[in-house]
Amino acid sequence: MNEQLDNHIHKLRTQRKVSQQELADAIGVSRKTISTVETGRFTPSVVIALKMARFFEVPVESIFSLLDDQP
Amino acid sequence: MLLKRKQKMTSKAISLYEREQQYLKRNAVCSLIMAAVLVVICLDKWFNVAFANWLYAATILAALVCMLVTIRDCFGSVKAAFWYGEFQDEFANHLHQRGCKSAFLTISVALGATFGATSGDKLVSGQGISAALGAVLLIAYALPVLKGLRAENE
Repeated sequence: MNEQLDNHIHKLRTQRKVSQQELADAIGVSRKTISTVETGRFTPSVVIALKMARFFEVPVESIFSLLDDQP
Repeated sequence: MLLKRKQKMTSKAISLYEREQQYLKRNAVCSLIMAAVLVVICLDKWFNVAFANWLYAATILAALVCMLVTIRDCFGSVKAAFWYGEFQDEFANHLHQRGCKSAFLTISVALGATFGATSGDKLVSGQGISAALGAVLLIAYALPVLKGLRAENE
């Protein structure tokens, strides 16, 4: 678990009704990669973060945030 | 719009990522079975276990089957990715590196311990020590990889 980083991938996926497999196929990674990023077990590269942002059409900061920044 | 983007971004080589993880998993299982073969060799060398021959035959057979299945199902590019440490899938790469790091650190400690333990006048079988160190190396690589690849539901 990454103690510093939080992500909102699950929330974004649920809002858009996209499965982990669909997201993985769309950005060109395995479902396991999405699953581990979502649960905080694996911190992805900037490339994957940017691909996710492009897929969800939101800024990267809307997907990933530092835990210190949260109110 | 989202659907179009989804279709556009879908890579035709997408199954490669799953294949890489499958290869990594089978390779780790193979490593564990090979480690079992080496442990049997150690038992035979050091303790002269009576049933070592049967154990040896069984573990060798299991290792051969596992290796054949791994070789049959994997393409050249995936095998090359394993040896060069350049998997297309980022998580597979991460796991492979974690396995290698764990193997390096564990074997360093094990080599130090072996050096310390055999520095006296004791006579020990070099084959047995090599087998033991090989087993430690293989287990140290396989366990973090299998732990990282354990099943996880959506």
